[in-house]
Formats: sequence, structure tokens, C-alpha cells
Amino acid sequence: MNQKPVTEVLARRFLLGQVDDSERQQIESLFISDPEVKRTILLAEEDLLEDYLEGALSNSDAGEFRLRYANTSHQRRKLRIAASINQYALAESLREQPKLSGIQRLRGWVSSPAPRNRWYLIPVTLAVSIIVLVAAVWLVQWHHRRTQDNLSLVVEKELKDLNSSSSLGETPSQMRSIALPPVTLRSVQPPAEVKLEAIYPIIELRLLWPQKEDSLSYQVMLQRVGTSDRFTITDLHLAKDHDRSIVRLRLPPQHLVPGLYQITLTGAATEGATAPTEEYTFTVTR
Amino acid sequence: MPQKPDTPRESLDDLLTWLDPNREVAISIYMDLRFVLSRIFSWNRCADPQGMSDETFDRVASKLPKLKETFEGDPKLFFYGVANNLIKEYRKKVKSFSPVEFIERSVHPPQEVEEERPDLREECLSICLGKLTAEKRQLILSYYSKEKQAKIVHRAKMARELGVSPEALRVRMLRIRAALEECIEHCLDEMEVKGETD
Repeated sequence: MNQKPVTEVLARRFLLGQVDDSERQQIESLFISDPEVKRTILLAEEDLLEDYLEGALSNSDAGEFRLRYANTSHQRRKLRIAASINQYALAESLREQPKLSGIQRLRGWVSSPAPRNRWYLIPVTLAVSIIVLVAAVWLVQWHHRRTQDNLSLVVEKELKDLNSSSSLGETPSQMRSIALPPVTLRSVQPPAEVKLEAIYPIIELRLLWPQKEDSLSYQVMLQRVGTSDRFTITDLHLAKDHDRSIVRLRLPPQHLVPGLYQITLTGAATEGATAPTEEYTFTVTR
Repeated sequence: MPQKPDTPRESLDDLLTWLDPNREVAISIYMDLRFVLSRIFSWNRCADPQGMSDETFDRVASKLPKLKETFEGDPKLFFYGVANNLIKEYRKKVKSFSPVEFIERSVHPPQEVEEERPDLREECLSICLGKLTAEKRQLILSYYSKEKQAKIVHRAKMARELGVSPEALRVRMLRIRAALEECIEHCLDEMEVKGETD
């Protein structure tokens, strides 16, 4: 049998499940028996992980990646650890850069030829110290905000990827589907419960749309009640589930935390009319 | 060396001898096999890669008396053959489950890992970075300090400064990172146990 050399490109395809079964078996047997191939695959895996964390993968590749690397709670913890290392290193470099250049500048200035009498250095040093302190506090706060913003961007991108037309066209083997009636229809019943279980890497909410008028597209605003975290997912469409109209919304469980969530589903308004809207709530538990 | 509790000691000794007559070499092959088998099961989306690696060792151990007489070649490939059969069995079992509202349950539900608090994760990261040598700590923080295009330029510069090829630097970083991640996982496990007993 002719064996293809296992390049990083082929290794990447293999890791994303984009090879046929005979290629898979060939690569796996080399992974176990050939140290060179093992190294190539582990390096390709490391690159893939970095690309995923940077949001550099295409929608379908990101989906495949999640199926293989965020399938169990143990894998999701590994991903969170990997992300923490990268975020820490990035934050450290941001903290180091201004501090070093400032110190270097100050050192250069102090050691430069100047009059002997440097009495004015004391207040200047004090002033510089205060400025450095204020800048450090600001930097820490700025970094904290940036980390939060980055996390929000990652979540928003994941939501967008999961709910793109191509992703919704596929039915992953391990997905939990939950039908969610709007608050108006549910009247006094408690919110639906979404239990986080490691075996489901994706949760699909089937938002029942009771209105007779259909819109060209729909927008979802997802918010955890009591927090300012809001995520908007656009360009969703109605689908038929038996005889009911639904809008499917897929969520990555690793970003859900226990608590009450609210969804506002809005249809695109036709000219001169008010945008049709429905509200849904659900509780996330462990 | 970690030993699976339900693998009889004699079987494990025999298995190690079959892998290599030199015990130290055999232990190293054994550890590597556990790692690669677990990765292979994980890539094949098996719900419990560790448990299936254990099952592979059990199956090979049970066939060992015959294997010693008849098998020729690299024993690792025999392990892979058994693992591949397990993957096929797993897929078959998953397919045979009746979908309930489009849901398919895992055949072997894995052990749950509670989501850790972010502050604990940060604390463990800090502890584990502290356990690295200053050189390794500086290297890994520098290596991951840039993103996208900037990281390519930065890493090439790092490799030049260290006098190694970019490939060698990647391999070195892979090892440091793997050790760091393992340390953080152990640290989180210990914190969880500590939290439960407090």
C-alpha cells in the first residue's frame, strides 16, 4: 500500500476528521509507531488549538474542533487551561512593554551628562513614581476590560459559528434539543430547565414562534438575567418542526453558567410595521 | 508508575517484558502507549478515552501467552489493532442507540469534571509557572506573548536568538506547555479535593 507522507497539512485534516477511514487508520498506526509522525501530529494539534483560541478557524473547522476537543467536561477544562496560558502570556507582555521602556528612558536620562546639582530630581522622581503607579493601575484595569471583551468576542463568534446556516444544516451526533415556548404561551409555568451535561457539546433551543406572520430573518438577544452580558445572533430563520414554526438557536454549554437566561427573539420588521417579538426564559442548572 | 487497579500484577509484568526486556525502556514504552492510545480514542470522539485505553491493555494482556509465541513485529502496532477494533465497536454501539428527540447518549459516560472557578485556575497557573525554571517560564511567556501575524515574526526572532530552528523551538515549547498544563490539572484536582474536605 502506498503511504502518503504525513505532513502538517494532512495532520490538520486528520485532526479535524477530514480524512477517510483508511487514511485515519494509516495515520493513527504511524502516530503510535513512528516518532516523527507523532511529533508532526502533536505540532499540528498545537497550531490548531492556537488558531481556535484566536478565532482563526473557519466556521466548519471550528465546529469540527469543538466536536473533538470540547466533547467532554475534561476536554473543556483542558481548553480553558490552554486559553488561560495564552491570555496570561499576552497580558504579561502588555504589562512589561510600557514598564520596561519607561524605566529604560528614565535610566538613560539620569545617567546622561548633566549639572551636578540635581536637587530637583526628588520631586521629579516622586511625580514620575505617581504617574507610573497611576498608569500601572490603569493598565491592570484596561487589561481586565480587554480580557473580558476578548472573552465576549470569543463567545459571540462561537454563537455566530454555531448558528450559521451551514452549521444548522448539520445534526451533530451528541446534541441536546429542548423546545422552548415563549413566555406568553407558558403563562405561570416555571422556566424550562437546561441541565449542563458533559456528554452534550451543543445545546439546541427550539424557540416556538406562535405568530402567524413570518419574517425574512430573525434576531436573538441572549442575556443572563442580573448581568450585563448580552449576545446578539442575527440572520436566523424559521424552520418547521412537525406543524409548528420554530427558530433554532444552538448554544455552547461551556459558556453557560447556572442561572436564569432571557431570550428576545425579534423578526425583521416589514415596512411601516412594528417588529414582531417574543420572549423566552430558561434556567441553566448542573 | 501508575498501575491500573484491576490489571493483575503478573500480567502487567509480562506485558512490560513483552514490550521490552529492559524494564526501564518497557515502562517508558508503556507510558507512551497510554498517552498515544488516549489521544487516538479522543480524536475518534470516544466518550472515555482513558477507560478505553485501560480496556486495550486488558485485552492485550489476556492474549499475551499466545502473542509471545506467535506475534512478530512492533508490539505497538498490535495495541493499535486492538484499539482500532474498540473504536469500531464503540461506533457501532453509539449508532445502535435509538435517538430520543435527536439525542444520542454516550456509550461510556465519562467521569464528570466540575467547571473550576476562574480564580482557582489563575492561582494554579501562577503556582505552576512558579515551578518552572526561570528560563522555561520566560521562554513560554515570550512564545505565547503575540497573536496572529505578529507571533510568526516574534517566534522566528526567538528561534534566531536562541540559535535553534523554528521547528526545534516549537517542539521545546510543546514539551514545556504540556508539562505546565499537566501541573495545572493536578493543581485543580488537588484544590477540588481540598475544597471538598474543608
